[in-house]
Amino acid sequence: MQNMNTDESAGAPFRSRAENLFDEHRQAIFKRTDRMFAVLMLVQWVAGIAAALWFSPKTWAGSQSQTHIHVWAAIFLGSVISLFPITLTLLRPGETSTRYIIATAQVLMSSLLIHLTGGRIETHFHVFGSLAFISCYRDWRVLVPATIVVAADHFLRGVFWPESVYGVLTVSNWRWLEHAGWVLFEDAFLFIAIRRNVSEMWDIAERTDEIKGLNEGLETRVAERTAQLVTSNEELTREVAERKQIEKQLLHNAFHDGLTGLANRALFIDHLHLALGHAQRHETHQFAVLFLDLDRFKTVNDSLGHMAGDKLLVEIARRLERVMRPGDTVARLGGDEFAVLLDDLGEAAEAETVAKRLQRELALPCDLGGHEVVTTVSIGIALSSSEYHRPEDLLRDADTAMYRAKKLGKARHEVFEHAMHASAMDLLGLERDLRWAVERGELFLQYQPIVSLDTGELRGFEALVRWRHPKRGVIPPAKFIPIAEETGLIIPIGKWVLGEACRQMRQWQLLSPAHAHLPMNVNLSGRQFMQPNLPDQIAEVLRETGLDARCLKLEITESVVMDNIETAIRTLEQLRALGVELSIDDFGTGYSSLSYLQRFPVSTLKIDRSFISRITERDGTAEIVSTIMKLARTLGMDVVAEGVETEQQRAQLRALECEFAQGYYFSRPVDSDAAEACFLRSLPSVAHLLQTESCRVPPVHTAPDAARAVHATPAALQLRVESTQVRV
Amino acid sequence: MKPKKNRMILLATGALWILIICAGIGVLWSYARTPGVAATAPEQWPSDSPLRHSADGATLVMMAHPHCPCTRASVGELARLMAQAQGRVKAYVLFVKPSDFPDGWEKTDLSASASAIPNVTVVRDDEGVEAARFHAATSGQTMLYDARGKLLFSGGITGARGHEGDNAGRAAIVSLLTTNESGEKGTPVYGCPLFAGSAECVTGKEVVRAKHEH
Repeated sequence: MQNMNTDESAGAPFRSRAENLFDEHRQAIFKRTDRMFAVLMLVQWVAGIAAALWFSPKTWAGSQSQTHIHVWAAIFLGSVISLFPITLTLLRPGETSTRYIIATAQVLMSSLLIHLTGGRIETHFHVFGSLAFISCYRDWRVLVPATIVVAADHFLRGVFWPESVYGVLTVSNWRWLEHAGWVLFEDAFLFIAIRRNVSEMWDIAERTDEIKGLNEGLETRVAERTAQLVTSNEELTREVAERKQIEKQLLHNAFHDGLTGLANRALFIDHLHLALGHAQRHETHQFAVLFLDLDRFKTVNDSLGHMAGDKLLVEIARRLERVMRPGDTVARLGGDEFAVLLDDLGEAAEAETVAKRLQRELALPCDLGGHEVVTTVSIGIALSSSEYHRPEDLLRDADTAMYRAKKLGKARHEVFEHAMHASAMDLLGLERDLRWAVERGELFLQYQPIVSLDTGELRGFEALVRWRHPKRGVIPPAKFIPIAEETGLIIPIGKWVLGEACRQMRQWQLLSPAHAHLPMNVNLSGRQFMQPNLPDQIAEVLRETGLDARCLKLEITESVVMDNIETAIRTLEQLRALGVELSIDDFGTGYSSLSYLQRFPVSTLKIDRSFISRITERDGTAEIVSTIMKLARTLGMDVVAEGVETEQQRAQLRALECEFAQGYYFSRPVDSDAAEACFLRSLPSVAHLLQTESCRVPPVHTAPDAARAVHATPAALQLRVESTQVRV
Repeated sequence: MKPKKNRMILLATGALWILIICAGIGVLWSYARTPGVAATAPEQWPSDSPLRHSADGATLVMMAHPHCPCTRASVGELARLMAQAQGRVKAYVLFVKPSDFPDGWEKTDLSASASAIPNVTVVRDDEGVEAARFHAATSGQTMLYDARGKLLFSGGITGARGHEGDNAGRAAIVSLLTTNESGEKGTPVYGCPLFAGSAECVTGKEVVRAKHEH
């Protein structure tokens, strides 16, 4: 139910928002109407004075006059009627009592004005106007005091001055009813109007409440959504910042080396490109590219660990930055390779000067966590010229020059020459062709006998791989084996050699079962040896070829074994478990640890040819060889001397009680047919066999080998073939 | 307690305010209800008067002060009276002009209003000579004589000072003119004194006494 009398509900403890809205609205109306009446009172007061002055300014007595009492009444009584409600309007706006006083005052003002205007019937309309104005409060209760005042006025007039109300005519005796009727009609009309108006106000309050509720819900949702958006925006901003940081980092990483912070290859190429462009626009502009490679980085890395290696690289980078000019570009291309772009050179010689300065600076000792390391650097220099159009070409040529410097002994610098490029291209061609050599059947094996120095009997063969290039002829192993090692082709090549040697040996054994105990020596490269499945591969080859494992002797260089001793020992033991014989090749040139040597399950030591070639000289080599043999005997190993080429060497070895040897003095490496012929027909004396025509077929090997072969004397061939060895 | 005290103060102030206003209005009522000096009008039309009464019908004479605000109501009532009489009466309105005022002083909106009433003759009464002949002392004093010059009525035709509306004076005159009957022979006159120095007001008892004397 709508509450028309809001003041009673103002103090209610629990009120709906619609009620509050309604009350707020009505209170605003009350205050607004209070203010309106305050102004209206002032206007009426002034109007009353004006009316008094107009209608009855003076009262006369003949020729004498004085101010009319109406004027004083208008001034003073009007002020009393007006100022009290005006004061309440100021002090207690919107109060119920204020409204009642105002309503009373307004009707009293009507009464005063009617009186001042001599009771003119027209002035009576002021009463109805007052009631209409009072209804502006939209509070029907305010009509009550106004009506009471009117009634009281008429009652008093009726008692004390009846003719002023009821008239004097007989019919007019009921005029008070007419008066009352009109007033009540007015009141009823206003009451209904106020009720309807208040009802509409209620509707508006309820609709406003509903709208406010919806609006609040909407605002709540907007606030929540805004909060979500703010959160999302913050997250997005953070993500964008992170992404920008990542992009920045990626961009930096894209052009800089992560370890040293130097420019990387891409940025170096870019700078090189700019330098090339500048040089093409200005003929006098010169620059140079220095390609640096640390000479002993791998040793440091392997011995002190990768952390130390990284520290060394960082230290090298700092030194390079310190030494170079601000305009120069220093880059790390990868691994232990660095490059420097010397831009705007005065003359070409400056590049070499800078290279020397770099070598001096980088050669200074470097402290790596308590380990003092001294490293050298090989530098290749490529000078700018009009022939260069691509940065990669310059870098390539500097790299080529660096390789030349490495080849020439390291710790030096070389300036690029065109001949280097041709050589490099040649090597590149070899690498390309080598990839197809196995498939095309261009590789073949030669076999060098291993003989007993005591009996001259053949004690086995060493298998040696050769490459017959369709255009270049036979390529020496020293030329293509390093390429194969570097490119990884040594793995398939080694596998092929192993299989072919085993197959060949098995074939010979089938032809001559009496010599089935002779072993075939096959070299294993470092890469092959490091394969985790090497024992499986060996076992598979033996199974496929049917060769007895005891007839296969694998030769491993001591440096390969010493690189990772524990793994090597484990691999060697696995191989030994297969029954395969093991041999340390090129013994004496590496860094064998004697403490480990006894742990190696090897049966043979092969003394490097460098000792044999000087064994006749009085430089102590013979004593070394003697020591090695004593060591081998102590450890229960056989000794094979490699590279025996002269009778003096053979005699010396014999004098030192060396058991086995191989070399041109006995036989150069021969092809399979010749070796087979020797194996079958010259038994039991290899010397006898080697005197036959088939064994005299000139072996296919390199010029130095051929030269040595020429020097092989018939006397040297008095040995008996007992072994075949294959060198890869 | 403070709101209650405030309410009491407000209530007391309101009551005082009402009382003051009632007192003021009471004074006004008292003033409005206080009549002027009633005339003892001559029973026969004064023979020395230059004014002639109508031989065919009644003649009404009203004495008026040209500047009396109360007389405006008397003139208004005269207009209604003349309308109700429907030509049965001839009327004179005498505007008293003291000698110490220049000519034209008497020509006011009041005289203009009176002039506009049909069958009404406005006459300037210098020094109030005519008013004295009719023994009038208060503005608004009205007398009615029949065709033979005999006084039929003497008094005011307003219910109060300056108040228009039904009143006993007008009702009596209209009754005399239309039905030849009269309830009241005299009524209080509400208006300004016509002459300086005369009593402005008399008490209600004096009015009653005047009625009895009349």
